[in-house]
Amino acid sequence: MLNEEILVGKTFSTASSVSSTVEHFHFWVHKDANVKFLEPGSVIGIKDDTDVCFAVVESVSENMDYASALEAFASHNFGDAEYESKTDRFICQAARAKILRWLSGTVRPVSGEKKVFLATAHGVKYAFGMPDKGIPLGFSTTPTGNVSEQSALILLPDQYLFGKEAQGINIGGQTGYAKTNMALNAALLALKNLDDVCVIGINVKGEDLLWLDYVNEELTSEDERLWRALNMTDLKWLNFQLFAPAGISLRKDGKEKDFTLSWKDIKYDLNLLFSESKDDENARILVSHLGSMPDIENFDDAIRLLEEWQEAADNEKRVPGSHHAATIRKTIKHLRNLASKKFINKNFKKSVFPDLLSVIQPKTFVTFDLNDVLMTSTAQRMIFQKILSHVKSYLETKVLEEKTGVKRVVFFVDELSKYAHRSMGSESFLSGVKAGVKNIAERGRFAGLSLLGVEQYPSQIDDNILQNMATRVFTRLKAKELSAEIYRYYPNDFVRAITRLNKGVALLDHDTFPEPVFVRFPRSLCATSRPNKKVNPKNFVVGVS
Amino acid sequence: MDKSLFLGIKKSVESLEGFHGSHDLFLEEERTDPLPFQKQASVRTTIDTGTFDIAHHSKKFSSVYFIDGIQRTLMLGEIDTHPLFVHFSGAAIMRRKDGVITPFGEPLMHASFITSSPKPFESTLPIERVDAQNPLEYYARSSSLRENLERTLLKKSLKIVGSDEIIVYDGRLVFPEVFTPGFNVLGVIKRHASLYVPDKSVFYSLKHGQRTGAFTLGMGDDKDPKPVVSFYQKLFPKKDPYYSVVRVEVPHAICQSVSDVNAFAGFVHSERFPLDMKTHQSGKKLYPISVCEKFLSSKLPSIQLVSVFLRDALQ
Repeated sequence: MLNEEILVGKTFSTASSVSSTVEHFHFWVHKDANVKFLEPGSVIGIKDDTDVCFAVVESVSENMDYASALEAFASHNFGDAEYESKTDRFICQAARAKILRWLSGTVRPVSGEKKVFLATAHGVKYAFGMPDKGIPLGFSTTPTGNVSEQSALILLPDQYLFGKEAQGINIGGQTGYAKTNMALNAALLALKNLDDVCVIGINVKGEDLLWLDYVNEELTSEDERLWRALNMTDLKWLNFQLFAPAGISLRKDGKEKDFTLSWKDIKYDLNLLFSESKDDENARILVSHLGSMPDIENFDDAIRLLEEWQEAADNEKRVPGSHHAATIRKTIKHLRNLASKKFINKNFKKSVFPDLLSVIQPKTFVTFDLNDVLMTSTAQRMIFQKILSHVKSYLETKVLEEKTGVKRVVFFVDELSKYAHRSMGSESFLSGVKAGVKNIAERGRFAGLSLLGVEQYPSQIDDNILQNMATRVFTRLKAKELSAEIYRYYPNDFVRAITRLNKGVALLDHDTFPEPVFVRFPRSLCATSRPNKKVNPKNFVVGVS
Repeated sequence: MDKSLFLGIKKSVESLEGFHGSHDLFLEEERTDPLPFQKQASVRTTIDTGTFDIAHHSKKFSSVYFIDGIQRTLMLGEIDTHPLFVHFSGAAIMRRKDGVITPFGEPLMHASFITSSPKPFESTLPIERVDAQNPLEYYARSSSLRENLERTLLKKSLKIVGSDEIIVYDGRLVFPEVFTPGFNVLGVIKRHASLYVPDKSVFYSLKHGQRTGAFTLGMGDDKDPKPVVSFYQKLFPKKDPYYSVVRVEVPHAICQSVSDVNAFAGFVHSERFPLDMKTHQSGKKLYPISVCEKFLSSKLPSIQLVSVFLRDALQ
């Protein structure tokens, strides 16, 4: 599990400042060592009799043997930068390594002076405790993203990814550095490798999740090579469904299926029209009252009844439920506004919402296009809540599993911070949605619900949601974001490296791994924008040779 | 030096009758620095007099070898009032080629007991007997043991050093081997117990980058002393007239003219950088010599390590 042909250094400790502990050891760098094996994230190891200690390079520093700046200055003929002395000063590179695990399973420091070798790909898998079977996510690498002889296929145990043990992936990164690509890869690879999973994507911006039935035209030969290694070369197996409320979508080629919501579909979710603050408490009680009245069968009925109640209240007559005139007025205003939306069928009495039991299938990615530019926040949260409550109910009652074989549903939520911001309180109109997201994060795994969140600033996500997600991925992030508390537990050089990551490289922190690992991943196999070539979607499959 | 050596020392001390442990005295080369120029020495001949700017041209060599040694001598206690010391010494050759210094071959190491006690005792280490209980006697023996190692290395280097290469030795050229024809060697002396110029006031006017007049000395075998050319030179500026003054010794066979004197002075002057300011005598010690000492220091057991390892035996 160690490549003994690649010697990178020798361990040491000092009398005072540098100690070897059960967590860390230090080594000086072999004079002929290739620097590419010493980047933060490289996996190395030492042999101790029959035991092997695996560790990851956390940081590398270099010191010359100058005692001070003054000595360096004086050594050049007292300040002559052109001066070249006959003797080169000694340069020592030393690295700090974090112990991942011992082959024997013991917990102990590395003792004495041991040769340090590069780990093989097999050693890397062992060091991180990667399973032999699981969901592939990319290849282990260093911040440069080079796939070397050491790179191992990173497999995540599916029960810790979208399963009973733990759930959720959160992917954070600044715009333009492939965070959505990574999220789509995770979704597609889970769908390809698991037969009981369906992904529901909530598309709130751009066209990221609208063209998943097309192969990405921007794949490079390197991407193709990586996809081959990930054992996915086409999208023939993928069932992609796109739903757009009332046909409102940025994709208009017939793929999108429109739907509307009737009174029956959302009468129990009308509280989402209001915030959860005390100011809106009476309004929430009123819509709850309306939803429970069997005589009200559509929006028109509800608005008509409220108008009657308002007249009665204005004339100081008794109103059922003793609702106040101002509350009734406020509710009428919100209901009229909602009923005016295209995606609301205000006259229809029966349910018009798509039957999710016929939509949710294994190996299916269902996108609901709730685009910001086409839809208000109210509409987004009403629909999101509707989908979430239906799916949760179907999973908990096992109806979904019995009818479709789907045991696990993953919610792919782009711009998660919009719904789960840490500062979002009860006064927010989105607080109801946040509660739903939080519910998935905290208890969803028992029902088979998981979250795949994407956002620019992970530090803005509510702690309870973020900490309940078993996998955290960071593509390039800005230094200010990295000053947040959630990054303090990562090695400093790893965090510094995040600010310089190229597209296709991320830091992966998974609960079953002892340390985070840099991961190299390809561009998404499916298109994330409108394809330029007019390929018939029915014949979309373009195999990656 | 391996663990068995320490076990041997410990065993010897533990079985030694009449031994009383104590370890509050240790003798290291750098801890005994004589007052400069306390006695006047005579010279054979004078080559030139006055002070001279060192020419910018200097001897050029493809590789330069530096030889130095260190010693550590620790008092373990007394055998019936006779002090018992344990001595460690080492010597190494460092080679500089293309600016890079690396150890040349394995360093030589030595360990022994030193005592004035006539009492025999069992030891895996050699036992050096000295006549008196004066600490200077012990120091002299300790130095002599180190010098033996250095001499061995000098002999060895005779076969190594090519005609375009040179050995720089940290000390006086007292060994007869250095006078082997064709052997390029140069000694740099940092301590100046003896004064080889007529008056100390010579140093008051000696500026950095200058040398004193050169003179010749007789070295080696007393019956057949070999001529050595010597001169003082000042490496760095400072008001202290003795600061950074070194004395250079070169076998006369390779330094026969004033031009040669200037070239060797230029060579030494060009070696003054880089500086190791944290070392003892930093204004005089050439950086490669300092590196050699650090290399040896890492090989020899520290006083602290010996003290801790032998603590039980010394109580």
